[in-house]
Amino acid sequence: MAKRKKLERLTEKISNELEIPRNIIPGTVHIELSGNREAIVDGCRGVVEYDENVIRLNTGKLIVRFTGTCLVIRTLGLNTAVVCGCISSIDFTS
Amino acid sequence: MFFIRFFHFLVGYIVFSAEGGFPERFINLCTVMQIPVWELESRDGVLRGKAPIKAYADLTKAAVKSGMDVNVTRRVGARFFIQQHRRRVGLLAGAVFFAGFIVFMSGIVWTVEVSGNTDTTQKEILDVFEQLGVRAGVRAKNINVPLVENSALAELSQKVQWLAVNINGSAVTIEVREKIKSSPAQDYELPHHIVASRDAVLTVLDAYEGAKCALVGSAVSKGDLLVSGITDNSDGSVAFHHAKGYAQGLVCEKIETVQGKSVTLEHIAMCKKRAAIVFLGLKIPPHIASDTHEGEFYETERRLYASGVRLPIGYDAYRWLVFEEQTFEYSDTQLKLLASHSHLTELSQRFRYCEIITRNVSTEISKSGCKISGSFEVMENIGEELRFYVIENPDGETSYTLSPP
Repeated sequence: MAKRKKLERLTEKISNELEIPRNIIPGTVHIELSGNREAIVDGCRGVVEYDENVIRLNTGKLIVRFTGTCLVIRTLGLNTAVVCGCISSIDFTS
Repeated sequence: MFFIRFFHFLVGYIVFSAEGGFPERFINLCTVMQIPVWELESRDGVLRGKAPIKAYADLTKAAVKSGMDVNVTRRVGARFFIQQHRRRVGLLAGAVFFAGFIVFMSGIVWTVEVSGNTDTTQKEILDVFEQLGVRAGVRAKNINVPLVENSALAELSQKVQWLAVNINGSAVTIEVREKIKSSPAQDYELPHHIVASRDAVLTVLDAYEGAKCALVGSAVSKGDLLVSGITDNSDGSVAFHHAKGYAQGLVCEKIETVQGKSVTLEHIAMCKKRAAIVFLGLKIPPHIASDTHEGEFYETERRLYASGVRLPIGYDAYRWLVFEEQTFEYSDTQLKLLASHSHLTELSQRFRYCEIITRNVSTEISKSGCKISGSFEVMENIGEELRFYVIENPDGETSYTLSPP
């Protein structure tokens, strides 16, 4: 576990130094928002909670929590989820 | 999004609802089992979504594993639609007829437009093309473009230099380039004098070629010689020129305008109206225009326009008008205004290229009408070219005359 954390820190340091975009580093979640109506989550590994008002997605290191109204998963792929509806907040928990 | 939905409709999909158990686990299992599900919605403990028809078996497996109960609410797709309406022959016939109609109509010429013409009227060009078979209502395929172009060019060769027929779907555009008329060349070789065009007091006289024959400040009458085209050489011989120069004079002129109190106008006493529906060049009924009725004949074309394009659908209105003469009398104010208008129009035409120095205008209204008389002093170009003819006599001497020999 400690080794893994060390490796992650090292990758982060290298990417910082080389100014490589973070989204190309494997295991990094990439969230693209279109206003508060749509969120494209790249790097989604599963659905933890699914409700009209709350959607929690597992992205590996983090759990992304979308809260709002009329929330819908429009598309669900192996790595991608598209969350639609009226998003009022996004929380991250590890 | 429309294309995605249309594609889904063509391929077909099911709308399912799942309840009980663990919806999140069900979704994750769908992801793991690579079942494409979309538009997932969780409301009141019921999960609704869409999935391809073939994925139903896998969907059930995922539901069993997650302890959910899956039901297919609806089946959507082209094949289900056809299956549902397979006994409705009318619908099918309508669809086939509609497709056939669209295909047939798209092969027909709907509009013929002319561009690039200025002196030649559009009607003139369209008439020629109509004779050659290019008109609304004919099949675009049947138009032999090179033959039509050559024949039309031969017909319009007096006015048109080049033309092209472009068929773009159901629209035919005729592009025209007209012949450029050359202005008649002025002959500066023939001998001319410059004479006074009206009675005036000469204020400026410049002779660029020829000899001055009048003094500035002197009064000249109409036809007086100002610049002569005949000059004497030092050896005693005579040279003939095309005299060039500029002569300006102070001209006195009186202009009178009379406006009659009564006027005779024509008004419509009787009007007969007829109309014919036009569809792709066909007129229904066809022979209204050739009917003979009393009165003057007028024809008006009304057509439908779509995005600025004139369609061959509409109607032709025909009118036969019988006019009757009626005499009106103007009031004093109307009379004065009309007389002023006529007077000013006359002044603007007469003194367009003059500078008015003084003016004295008076208005007189009588029983018969209104008379506006004005006397003006204007500065204007009074020089006018006058051709003369040189005659060589049998004894070797030359003389000249103003009338052609």
